[in-house]
Amino acid sequence: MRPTPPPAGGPSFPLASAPVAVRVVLGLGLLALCAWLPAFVALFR
Amino acid sequence: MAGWEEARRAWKEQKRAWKDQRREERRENRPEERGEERRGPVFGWRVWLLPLFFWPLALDVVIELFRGNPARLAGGVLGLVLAWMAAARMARGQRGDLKAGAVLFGVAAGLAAGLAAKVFPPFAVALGFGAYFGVRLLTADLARHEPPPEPAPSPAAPPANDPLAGPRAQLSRVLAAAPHLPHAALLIEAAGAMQGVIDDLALRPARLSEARRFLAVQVDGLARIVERLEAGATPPETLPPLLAELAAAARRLRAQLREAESEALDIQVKVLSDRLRQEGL
Repeated sequence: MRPTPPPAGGPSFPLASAPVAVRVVLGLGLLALCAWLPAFVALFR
Repeated sequence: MAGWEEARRAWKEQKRAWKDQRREERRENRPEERGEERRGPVFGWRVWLLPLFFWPLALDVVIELFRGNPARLAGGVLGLVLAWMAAARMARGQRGDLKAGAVLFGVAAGLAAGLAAKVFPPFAVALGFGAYFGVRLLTADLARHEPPPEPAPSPAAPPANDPLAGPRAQLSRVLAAAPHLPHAALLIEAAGAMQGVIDDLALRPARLSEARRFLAVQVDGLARIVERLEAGATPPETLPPLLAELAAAARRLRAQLREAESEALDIQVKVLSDRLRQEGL
């Protein structure tokens, strides 16, 4: 898959120029770990 | 009966035509149809998906209402509200909104973890950073919908509302071209006299309205004469007296402007001395 170049003056963080699929999977994984999991823990604690 | 049927058919046709017209208008108004790139709010699923990660908090808030634990309730409410605000901010699609929304979402995740889930605070902060990074990864390519930065205004640009800029430019062109033209001395004299009027007007902008006609007719006329002479026109016999008259008119106007200023000063002095006399000073 073709890597998406970051827009000029735009995002400058690690993996900003990774392919969209990689970024979406990593982003969803991180959000599941850092947002959904604590919320789920809060519900059952 | 037949008449009624006919009327109904006519009415239906009229309605269909009106609908077609509306559809056509809507299509013309679409930015894609006009060949423009879509601007404005970004309602991507990746933006509105974000608050859904906090769905357990919605249930938790209800439970905490009954349990009566204010810190956990505050954590849940703050997490939900900030996550919603983050999505709304990102959906606005203005410049910098994606990053601000990601920061808000990170704060929401950190607060939810720290307050609602009672996670060890440094871990909660780390979770907030993780959520921020996750949002950035997920929404980074939406940045191309953001409007480009405003171009910086060039510092060398002259003030747009200077009414003397045009006549000044015309006179400098006349003075540059005059030495190579017939009746050079008269042309330079007229242009010099007009330059003096413009210098006076620059010092007294309040008098500009009185000299508007002079700027519009005489300076413009002299510039046109020089243009024709530059194009190779043979000067008529009436040109030298006209140039002399232009120079004289400019000098007269200058004298009038000075006289008006002197009169104004005279009145001012008289008023002030009367006032001083009245005050007994």
